[in-house]
Amino acid sequence: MRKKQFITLIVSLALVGLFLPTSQTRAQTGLLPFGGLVSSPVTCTCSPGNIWIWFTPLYLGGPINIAGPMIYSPFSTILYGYYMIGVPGKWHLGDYIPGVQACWISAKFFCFPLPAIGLMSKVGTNY
Amino acid sequence: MRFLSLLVVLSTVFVSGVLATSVSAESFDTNLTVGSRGSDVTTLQQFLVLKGYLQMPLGVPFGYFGPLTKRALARWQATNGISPAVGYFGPISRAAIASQMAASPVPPVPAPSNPNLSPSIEIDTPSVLGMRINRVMLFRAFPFEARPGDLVTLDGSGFSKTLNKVYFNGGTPVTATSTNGITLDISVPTNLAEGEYSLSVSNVLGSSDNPDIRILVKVTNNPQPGPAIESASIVGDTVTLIGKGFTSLNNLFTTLGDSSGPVSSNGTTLTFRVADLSRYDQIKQFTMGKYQASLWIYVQNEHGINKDPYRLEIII
Repeated sequence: MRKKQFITLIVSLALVGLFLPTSQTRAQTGLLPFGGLVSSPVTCTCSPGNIWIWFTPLYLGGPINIAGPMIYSPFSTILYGYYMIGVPGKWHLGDYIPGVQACWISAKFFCFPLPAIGLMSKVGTNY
Repeated sequence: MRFLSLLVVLSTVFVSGVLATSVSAESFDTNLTVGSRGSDVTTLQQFLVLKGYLQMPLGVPFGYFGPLTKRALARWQATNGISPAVGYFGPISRAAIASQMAASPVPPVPAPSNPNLSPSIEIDTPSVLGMRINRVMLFRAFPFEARPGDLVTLDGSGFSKTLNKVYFNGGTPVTATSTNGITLDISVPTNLAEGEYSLSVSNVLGSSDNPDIRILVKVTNNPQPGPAIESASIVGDTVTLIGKGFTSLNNLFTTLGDSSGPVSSNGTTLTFRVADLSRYDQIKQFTMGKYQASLWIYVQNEHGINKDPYRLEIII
């Protein structure tokens, strides 16, 4: 029984090690992981193609329950299956670049940046 | 032992899934037409979006080849000399797109290159994260009110490092350069009469003119500063802003939507209810008072808008 536990531990550590380079890459490039459930998308009228997406809940890794927006851009975001980007009720999981503002909205005689937590660098969705 | 097996299976699935996704994003296995579905359709759509031929409607997922994709593909075929340009994705189109994708993989990672642009143009108009790279766009002028001769900063994308022409109501242009591709400092021409002027920027990428969006600047000999928010607090669902430049008629733009009507102020204090914002009900039905969120706030009136939004943490 102790031998089985030892083998399990070694294999588990090896599997953890498999994912460590990803974490290091994230740290080096400024990418952070996120996940969340879409509740409301908004079209970025002045920066066409981009979508501002409100997530409730939004998981960023902290201890507090938060909700908030992220931006999807077809010009910068790598989209993975099942491609339900910005569809209400769909879970999204990916990486983002904090602080990048890429959603501009028209209002009266100007456009203004609709703030978001960051720009998705890659994202996948459920079916 | 069951746990061990589960771990091995999960890791195998993860690795094979990543590989499968990577491969499918770079090759087309079949011809595509209206009614087709799947990852090849998604890759084609992303390619067409990137090239500016397709704009996916909000809430419509990628992966289904519908009439919009057909029309976008037909336009791309016509531009690239593929006949007949009818929106059928057959062997000729597959080969042509594959060769373009080899030069610029789909989707691009940040700071992508575009084979339609020469290297000199790409250097001249720096690509900006999250923005289309082959188009010049103008977002706003700040400050909104300025005297003739005053410096005004334009925000946008696709500005040139060497030559941009800025037009006031289409008149004689002012020339300017941008160091970063997203801001442009210009002097208001001294010969302009007082009034509101529609701005546009032209450079090697084309013109920022957009019939749906007007970007204005007000030329006046007595410019007033736009609103500025210095502090904010929330009690219940009533937000109080302290600042300056508020007038009797202000509009609010926030991450929870816009105000349903003009908001009055005594000049330095402005109050509004979060529940009156246009997206509040839609978002509140999911959050139900259990989540922390940032409320970013802009105030706009006849003298302009605060350049940077004020951020207030709230529970929604």
